[in-house]
Amino acid sequence: MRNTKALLALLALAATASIAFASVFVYYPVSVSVSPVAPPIVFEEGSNANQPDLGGNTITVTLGANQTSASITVHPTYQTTYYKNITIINNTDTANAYYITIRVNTALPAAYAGSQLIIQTGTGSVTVDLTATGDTVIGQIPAGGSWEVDLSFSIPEGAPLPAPATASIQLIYSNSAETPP
Amino acid sequence: MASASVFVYYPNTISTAPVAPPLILLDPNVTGVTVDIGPNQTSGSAVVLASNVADLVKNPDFYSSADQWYAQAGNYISVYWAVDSAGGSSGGAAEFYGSLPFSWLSTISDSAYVYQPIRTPAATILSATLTVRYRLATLTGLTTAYYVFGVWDPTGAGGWAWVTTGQLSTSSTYTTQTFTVTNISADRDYLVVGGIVVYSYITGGTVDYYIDYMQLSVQTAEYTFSNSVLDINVTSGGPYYAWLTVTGLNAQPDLDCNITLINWTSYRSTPIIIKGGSLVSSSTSEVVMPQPPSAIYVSGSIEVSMVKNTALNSTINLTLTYCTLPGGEGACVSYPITLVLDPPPSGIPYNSQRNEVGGAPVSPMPQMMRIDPDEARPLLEKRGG
Repeated sequence: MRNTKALLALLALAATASIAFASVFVYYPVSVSVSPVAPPIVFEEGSNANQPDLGGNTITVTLGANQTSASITVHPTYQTTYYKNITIINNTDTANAYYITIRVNTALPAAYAGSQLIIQTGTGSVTVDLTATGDTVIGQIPAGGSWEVDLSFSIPEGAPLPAPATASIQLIYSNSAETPP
Repeated sequence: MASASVFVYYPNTISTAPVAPPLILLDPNVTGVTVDIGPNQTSGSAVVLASNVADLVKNPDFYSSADQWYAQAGNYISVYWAVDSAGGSSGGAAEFYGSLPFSWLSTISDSAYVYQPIRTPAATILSATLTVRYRLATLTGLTTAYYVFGVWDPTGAGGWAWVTTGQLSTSSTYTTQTFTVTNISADRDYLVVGGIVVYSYITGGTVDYYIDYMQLSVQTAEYTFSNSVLDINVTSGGPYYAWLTVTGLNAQPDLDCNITLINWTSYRSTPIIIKGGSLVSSSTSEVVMPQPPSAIYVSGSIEVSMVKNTALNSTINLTLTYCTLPGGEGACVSYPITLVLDPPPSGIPYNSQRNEVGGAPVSPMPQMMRIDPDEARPLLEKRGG
């Protein structure tokens, strides 16, 4: 009799445990539709893209196939070298303005201290330090608007010319003024 | 959904490959100018000593090149830069060499010249002298030769402002003469000219003539300076388009000064103008700066023409900007330049030793001496080179 009671207690415990660990799955139907659109913000070549650079070189500006990336190569020298209107940021959306942020992911070495990317917004200019990583909020490009992009390099006299270097940056645009993730 | 934030990321790269400065600053080695050039020749300062005596000709002795000089050859006489070791020239010299042909019962004439553009100081000119050093090494046949030295006024059709000629005799040594120059005005462009005129009767003949030195010096009522303070040379790429801008001025009220960019073809910018210590024009116009021909060492220069009455310093900060395209387009580089304008103590000209020998002016022969810069060659050939 005592064994029977113990057995019943174990069965009751097992039944309770099996109920506590049961997984229940509920399925709601959700539809995600992806409908790609032409990029509203595009790069265009500035008036000085692919024009003569110092020492017989060329100011090389290569745009991606869909004008959503740009690769620039320049050849500065000692003192201050300025490249005006190298590329253009163009908002092809004539109905909506977008917030623009420039993010420097890989900075130029310290030997290029003072080197800047300058965006001419039409109402002023915003500079981005190319020797420091981080985000710089440029502002809101108006619907149908375009901004010119300049570059400025400062190489002090008396030091060896810096080794060639590359800065990796991102242009981030959004319909929101929030800080981009 | 109305407040949803969408972020789009575009990747970009900016690559730099620095190059040695394609345009550099140089010391023009002009009397009265002390130059300090930066370690990479991309900055410079010049202390300019005004004087009441100014030497206007650059590279007057053709020492290591024909830099700054132009040549106009004749029909038979060519013009070269050469070292006349037999005659003992100081460094190089301008050589006039050629053979006039046989001509039956008639006279053949020919002439050839070297010249250099100069600008007189913007001050009252009290006197002017032209010092020359020359030698006729060879003259054969029934031939006579005359030296010609003068100051050509390029205004309009052009004409001699002053000229002197004299018959030459062959000599193994150089003759130095100083002529009194008249009829030149202040703040004007002229050409300083030296050359030879040769007449040959029937036989033809060979002429070999050297000019080793030419310097036009003027004495002015005020302390003045009118010459290059910095040279500019394009070493790669180009041409570049350059101009000067004043970025700082600490001028005494007695300073009248023009600062001009000039290239090796003698094309001049409009000047920066300082009048009575105040800035009237703060920048020059744009001047194209190409790489110079092999026989000319500089692409251009910065020239200062100033007048001061007192021994007080004036300092001018400038920026030399050059671009790969006209109108400030392409890649643009800026170099800092400082000029200190500082007359010497009163009454001490920096170049006062002159021996007046006096010339024997001969009636000018304008039909033989017309200088047309458009027909001139911009440099002297190196004989045998």
